[in-house]
Amino acid sequence: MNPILECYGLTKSYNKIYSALNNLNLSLERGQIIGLLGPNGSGKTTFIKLINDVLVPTSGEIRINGMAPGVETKKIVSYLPERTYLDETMRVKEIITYFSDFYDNFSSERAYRMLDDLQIDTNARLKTLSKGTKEKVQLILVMSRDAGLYVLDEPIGGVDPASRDYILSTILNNYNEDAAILISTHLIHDIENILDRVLFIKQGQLVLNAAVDEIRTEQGKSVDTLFREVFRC
Amino acid sequence: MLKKLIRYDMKSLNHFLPFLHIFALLASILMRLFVTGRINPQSSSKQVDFIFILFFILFFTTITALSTGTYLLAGIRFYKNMFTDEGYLTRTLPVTNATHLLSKTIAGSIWAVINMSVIYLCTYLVLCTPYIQSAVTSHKAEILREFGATGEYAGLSFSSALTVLFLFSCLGSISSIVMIYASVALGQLFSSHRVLGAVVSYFAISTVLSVLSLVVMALFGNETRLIITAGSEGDNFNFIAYMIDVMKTSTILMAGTSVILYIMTHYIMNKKINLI
Repeated sequence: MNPILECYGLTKSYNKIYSALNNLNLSLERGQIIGLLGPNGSGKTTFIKLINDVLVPTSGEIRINGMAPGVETKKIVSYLPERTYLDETMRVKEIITYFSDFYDNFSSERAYRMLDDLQIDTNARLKTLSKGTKEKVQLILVMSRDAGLYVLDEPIGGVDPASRDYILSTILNNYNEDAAILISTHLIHDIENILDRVLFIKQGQLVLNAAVDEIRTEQGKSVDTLFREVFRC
Repeated sequence: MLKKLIRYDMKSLNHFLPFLHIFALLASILMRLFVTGRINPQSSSKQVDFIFILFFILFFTTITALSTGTYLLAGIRFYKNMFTDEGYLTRTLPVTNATHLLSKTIAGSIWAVINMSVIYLCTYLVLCTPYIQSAVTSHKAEILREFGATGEYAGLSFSSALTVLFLFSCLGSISSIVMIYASVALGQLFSSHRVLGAVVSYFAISTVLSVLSLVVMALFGNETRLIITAGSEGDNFNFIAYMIDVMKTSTILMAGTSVILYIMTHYIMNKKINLI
């Protein structure tokens, strides 16, 4: 089976002086939850945007299931951006219809079940919900798809600690071995128990691509500790 | 997918635009009932004339606001849905940029045509009072002759002239929608102040098109004919012939520039857009 994600010499420059991503080479297999970790401005979000075709690379190539970003890859990539991307005038149930209209792999039943678990009113308009609740709605929508690659940019940053456990278990329960999940976050301590692999990005370059078990057994450290060492200011 | 996109685009535009147009229709009905419907030229005075002029200014302001509102809302929908935070969802739907652009152009054009129809209807409601209708009917042949419905245009009727004018206006409205979308897309090429960039682009495109239109009209003789006729002693200027010339040239120009702007917008959406 193809790797789910491959990058060759991927570079993104916003101007002539500064490159947010610099010659990134990478290959990720399915069946893993991967942590994309790095300090602010290291290029994590740029990388995620390139995967989702909302940025155009300056040079290099990106392949998702062997294909360049486009209609076919968007069918299998489920993306949670770091911001609220829904039309806030819509009701929660209307957004579910919207997702179900456009994504063949979206399960409305699963979405309604999770909304019910988190006691979110499906008749409420997005603009009437708190920031944290909006983030939960977005995560539910993203995780209600049977995607090949889930790309989650700061999925637990804005939610209360009590809901984090539910969200993490949601992430774990809703993906299968043919899929991969790429999670970008600063809350390493909260998610490190669910990660299989971590990618450390520094100044647009990959500085570490290792299995979490390797870090624990060979270096005798947690991912959080290693992160603090690598990125010490 | 295109049908679904159009459905959602129309739904979004339908939040505001029907209210704007219903308001304009109601304002026109009121104006007909209380102002133009009460015109009695026999008892005309300076004060009454002043009130009529005031109401006509109000009417044209309402119509201008209606059109501006329609184009503005279509442009805002395009900008918000494609290039702001909402773009992170819209642009990650399994749909090509070509389909997105087509959907938004169709939805915007539908409302542009509705807007034009409402403007014609409002004008009819306000102007076609029984007094004006009877005046026009009794002097129909004379009016048509004055406008130049003679010779090859002798068979021209009011209704066919109005139909052609309406179709021409609709083409102009669709062309405006394409131009607004092109301006929004060009604005995205600015590294910051992208809305301001879109506004600047709109005025730049408008200026270029106006100059181009003047040059083309001059080359085809339309402008020269008007200037020469206006300056000459003889009153042989045929308004209908002139308008037909202008409309022919403008139609070709509008269709041509719209196609170029549409292709340019598609290219920018495909190759140059970076959501920030």
